[in-house]
Amino acid sequence: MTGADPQRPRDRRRPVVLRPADAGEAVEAVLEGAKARGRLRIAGAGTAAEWGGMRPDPDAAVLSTERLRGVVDHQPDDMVLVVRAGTPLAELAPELAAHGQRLALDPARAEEGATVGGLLATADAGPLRQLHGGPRDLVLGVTVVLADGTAARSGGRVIKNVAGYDLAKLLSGSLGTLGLVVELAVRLHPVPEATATWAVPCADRAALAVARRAEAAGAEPAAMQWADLGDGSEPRLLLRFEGGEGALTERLAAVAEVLPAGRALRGDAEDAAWAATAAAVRGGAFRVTAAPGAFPLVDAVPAGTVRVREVGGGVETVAPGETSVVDAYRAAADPVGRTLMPHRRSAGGVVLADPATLPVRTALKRALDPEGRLPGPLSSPARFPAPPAGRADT
Amino acid sequence: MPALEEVRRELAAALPAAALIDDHARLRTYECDGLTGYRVVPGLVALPGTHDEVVAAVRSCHRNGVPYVARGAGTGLSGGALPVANGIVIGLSRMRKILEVDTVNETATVEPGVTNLAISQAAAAHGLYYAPDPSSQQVCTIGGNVAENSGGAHCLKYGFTTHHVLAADVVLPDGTAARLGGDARARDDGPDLLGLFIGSEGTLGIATRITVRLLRRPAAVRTLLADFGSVEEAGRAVSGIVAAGIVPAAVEMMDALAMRAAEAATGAGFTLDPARAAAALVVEVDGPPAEVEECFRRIVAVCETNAATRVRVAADPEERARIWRGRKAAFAAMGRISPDYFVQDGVVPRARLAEVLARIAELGEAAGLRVANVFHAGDGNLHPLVLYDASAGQSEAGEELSRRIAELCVELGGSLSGEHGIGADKACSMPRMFSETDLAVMARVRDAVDRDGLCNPGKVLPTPRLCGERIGPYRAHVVEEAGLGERW
Ligand SMILES: Cc1cc2nc3c(=O)[nH]c(=O)nc-3n(C[C@H](O)[C@H](O)[C@H](O)COP(=O)(O)OP(=O)(O)OC[C@H]3O[C@@H](n4cnc5c(N)ncnc54)[C@H](O)[C@@H]3O)c2cc1C
Ligand SMILES: Cc1cc2nc3c(=O)[nH]c(=O)nc-3n(C[C@H](O)[C@H](O)[C@H](O)COP(=O)(O)OP(=O)(O)OC[C@H]3O[C@@H](n4cnc5c(N)ncnc54)[C@H](O)[C@@H]3O)c2cc1C
Repeated sequence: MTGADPQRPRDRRRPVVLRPADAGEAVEAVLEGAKARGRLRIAGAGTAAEWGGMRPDPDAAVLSTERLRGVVDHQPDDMVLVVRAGTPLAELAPELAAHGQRLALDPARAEEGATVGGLLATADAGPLRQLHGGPRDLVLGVTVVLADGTAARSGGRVIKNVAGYDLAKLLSGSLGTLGLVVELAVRLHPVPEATATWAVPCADRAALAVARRAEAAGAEPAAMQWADLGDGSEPRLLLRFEGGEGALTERLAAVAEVLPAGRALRGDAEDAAWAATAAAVRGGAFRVTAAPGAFPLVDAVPAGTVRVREVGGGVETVAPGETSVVDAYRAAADPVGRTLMPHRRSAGGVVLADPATLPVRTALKRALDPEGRLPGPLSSPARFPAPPAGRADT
Repeated sequence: MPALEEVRRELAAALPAAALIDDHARLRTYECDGLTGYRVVPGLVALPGTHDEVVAAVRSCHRNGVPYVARGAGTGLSGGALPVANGIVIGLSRMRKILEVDTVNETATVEPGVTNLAISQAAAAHGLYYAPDPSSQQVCTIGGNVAENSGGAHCLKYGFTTHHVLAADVVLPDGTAARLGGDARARDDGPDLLGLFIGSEGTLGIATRITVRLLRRPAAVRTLLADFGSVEEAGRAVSGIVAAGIVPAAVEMMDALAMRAAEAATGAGFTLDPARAAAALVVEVDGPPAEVEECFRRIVAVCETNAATRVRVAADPEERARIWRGRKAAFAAMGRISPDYFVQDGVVPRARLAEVLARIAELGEAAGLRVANVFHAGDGNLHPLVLYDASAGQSEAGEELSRRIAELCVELGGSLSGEHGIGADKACSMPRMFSETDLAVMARVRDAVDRDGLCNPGKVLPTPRLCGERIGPYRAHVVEEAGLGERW
């Protein structure tokens, strides 16, 4: 393990980066990092470095997951995988595809090397959320190392399990504030034989109603995404279908009947359409969640604003995020039940769905990281931007 | 006792008189849940009718240091709603309003005492339904489902309670209230508190209002019943379906004993010749019609490869309903073939179904007791029913066999519980599945939310009082296991 230089333990300028390769080394790394710097910071591939709107603490010892990599156990017949947290999703995919299987997550960040642990920590998912939910819905069990060096496991390796508290849920969205995920057990799904996409030009306000027409026709879209790429191209709704060729023909016929204004995209054209919206999501300044029917959250946005919305999931990513746009969305995200998550520091702090959860969040943080070594409400110095008016902020 | 008196006095002021029960005869109705072997008469039962009344009850308990247990319909099978002596039971059965069916967002918002089935009934007019379908769905409440993260036959394709609940208003143990989750399925709110709450067995607070996702009824549904000459062949067929990458809506298994009981109760048309039907699978596929046909064809092929002796396809909705009635009545029908039985609930990796069923049969034989199997095979979620006769002094042997089966599941890489929960029943078995450190971290989480230990105490985690001074042996700690892995 590379770590603090024993000759110069007090040199604050020199970054301390620890790269454990398994649970045992992770425990040592946490203790070593805490001893060297008092504070810790968990880094995956760094694809979501500014999420949460925080500034990384330059003095904190960095726990890098870059060597926490690879498959621990794959039971193809059971469609269950145990994988180290620092494994990039994109690296895992071909290995699973060889067995006709996939981890049914398609976040835009995958292409940049986002890790499986980082995806759980950011609760990030892509358009497939429509069918499979997010990481929290696919993770069966986790092994975590807390900031005091405690290694613990929750959940299991079977697809159904209710024994004990589900710590994987707590780590979902924890953004490196509660503990280092070292290993995850996940449920796998079959790779569909083929896919096809129906692209329908569609105004902002109509997106949900149009998507619902396809659903009502029994076409069961695997993804429903509306995007305005802000480049002058016509906003449109992309409906992706999965299945064997026979099933796809059936689904496309059903959707063509109810949405005749659209057209089918296959092969390269289909890939290009989804690649373009994924790129737009990667460039996002923040994302908001609200009930699907609440969109559009903001009446008018300046020309050139990029918006990509998972229509069924109720989540929209927005760029470039000028102050006026951020302010309008912050105001729109205020009612209890809605959230705003900054993906760029410029977008301010997190808006929680209900500020009344803050005391219990703080209590959980205190219980799992009593010394406040990881970032978050107890870290010192506190690094939270000022809460926006009327809303609490973590 | 004076503390309990104080709660009684405070609640008499805060709740309508009819909402408080304190005469012994009526208190006894609340002494147990579906796990009737454990009984404790509570000191008081409160039946709040509103969120504010739940808040009042929890605050009063908090202020006076009185333990309390939430209760839905009391169908739980792990003693989760078992009362605490001199504590109170907060029953949610009066809170049964369906507050909203939102057809734009395809959600329903309901009070916690609404039954699982009532949600689907309320949504049916809009072509929508609530997917998780425990066999107890006519009676069990959504609040209980949330607490247990309940499953059902159709959860293989659609997921469990945790995949379908969007938000819950929760009264926390300190008497404050907060909404967990949010308006969207995408959760982006920091650590997923709702996810932690679901499946926490009533130990982290009381849900007073729950919003669930509704799904659209699939365009086509097909159901088959396949008989097998041995339980192992049926188990292999399940593993074969899973390994082929097919995700049916449901794959349920019944063995000959279970079919005999269910047939006697419902006349579902099960084959009653154990030589030809030592086990049968109920497999259901749903989706767009052509796709359903294609999947169905592949499933029939897998069944035939695994020596199915007969494949019967439900010809019409009525026949389909009959098969499901037979399946869902199986637990209750056990009374027809045995005076007493224990319902076990464990999970194994799906590739090991045949193996675990063979080992269960061996354990049963060694104990001299019959074991019937009727379960969610597609999930690897077993429900072995240990049949015994209490009047013949077999209770202890039955209980011991049942416990050994659950622990066998853990040995094979599975879990102590797939859906019924740990409750009071299995807390002392938790060290088989988790190390002392794992459980200590879970206890930290619980204590952070319930500082005073008043919210459903004595459930889920083992305590010396519950399990004796020496709890254990624990499972090896993760780091020890990793170390061993390297050494060998
Ligand atoms: C509520 C909140 C409070 C915050 N408070 C602070 C603070 O006080 N100080 C501060 O410097 N930063 C804070 N952050 C920001 C967060 O810690 C940074 O985003 C992170 O340091 C950047 O990591 P990265 O570049 O490696 O991103 P990525 O590698 O893309 O990872 C994304 C996020 O996931 C986490 N992560 C990645 N892999 C794992 C893993 N295996 N196990 C657990 N977590 C993992 C990372 O820590 C990061 O937060 C806060 C964020 C939030 C939402
Ligand atoms: C015949 C039969 C068949 C069954 N089949 C299945 C099945 O297929 N799948 C399955 O998963 N289960 C099944 N069960 C078990 C049981 O029905 C479920 O666990 C159900 O969710 C319990 O609901 P309830 O309302 O009866 O809860 P209760 O038994 O009253 O309580 C269960 C737990 O929930 C807590 N609780 C209740 N309400 C709340 C609330 N509002 N807020 C917080 N905590 C609360 C209680 O404290 C307790 O810990 C079956 C039971 C029977 C008797």
